[in-house]
Amino acid sequence: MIFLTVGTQLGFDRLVQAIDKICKECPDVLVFGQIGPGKYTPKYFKYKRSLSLAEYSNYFDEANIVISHAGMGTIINCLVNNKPLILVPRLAEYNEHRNDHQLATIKKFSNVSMFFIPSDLEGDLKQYLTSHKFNYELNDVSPYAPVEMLDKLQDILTND
Amino acid sequence: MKKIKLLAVTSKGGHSVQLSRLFPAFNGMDITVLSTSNENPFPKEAITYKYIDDCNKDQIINTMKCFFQICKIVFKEKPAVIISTGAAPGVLAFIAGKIIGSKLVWIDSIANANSLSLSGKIANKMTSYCYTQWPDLVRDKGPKYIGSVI
Repeated sequence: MIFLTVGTQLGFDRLVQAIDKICKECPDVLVFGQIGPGKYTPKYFKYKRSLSLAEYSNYFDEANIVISHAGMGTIINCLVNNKPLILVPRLAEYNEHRNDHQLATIKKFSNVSMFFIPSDLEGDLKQYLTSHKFNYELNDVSPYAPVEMLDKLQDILTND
Repeated sequence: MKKIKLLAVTSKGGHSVQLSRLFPAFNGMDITVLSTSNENPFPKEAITYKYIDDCNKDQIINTMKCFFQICKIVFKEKPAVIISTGAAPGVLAFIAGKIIGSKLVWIDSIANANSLSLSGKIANKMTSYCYTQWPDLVRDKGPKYIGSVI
């Protein structure tokens, strides 16, 4: 199963619509989506606008691969849990976010082998969604920030 | 020794995921978390959790509502330290905290790799404890850098 999540604050119709089209063409591609308050209604995959924490974690755990906007919540969850992730940045030119910081995020994380960044939302994305094999190196990311940062922060919080 | 009263303020989603990665630094403190998620995503036994309304700079009424909720909690609890990973609700908590003299600590989201967030820029004017997660963004007048959550 492929888990699509675009967060719950903003819709991301461009991505949702592209995935719906791929699901129509390829009935074997099984997607569940948390699609936020967008205008587009998917016809070829199951979705909810907003998931509870428990629902989110069930779909996340079940997924072979996650596809998402370049939001830090999903990026960090995928890193910690070694879940391969297809990233599509929200762009300001389509009013998908206030600015293009998600492009900067993608650039900064482009060397992580577990992250896949399609060059377009048609052929390339379709290839990722229909592919069953993802080769990537496992990461060893702790659920907490690095100890050096935590120590410095604790000093800042406790010292006058 | 008396426990330090810490108030952590965060929007839901990525901001909140980043805050949860900082929890070991709050060890031994009396922790209250305010967040815009109607479900508590943090370890329940360790903290007091309070829901606040979501807001951003384009929603004046929601922002007023959120500010009122935050002021009520800040003025009652009088936290020694307020920490925020963003976004807008953190700035509102800083305004309330400034009035009662709390130490204000801002950790700008790692999503802001090219420039400090708008909330972060305001926070940087309010406190010397403003931190970016990208060394390139360090400036003499702040923000500073102590590492990143990943």
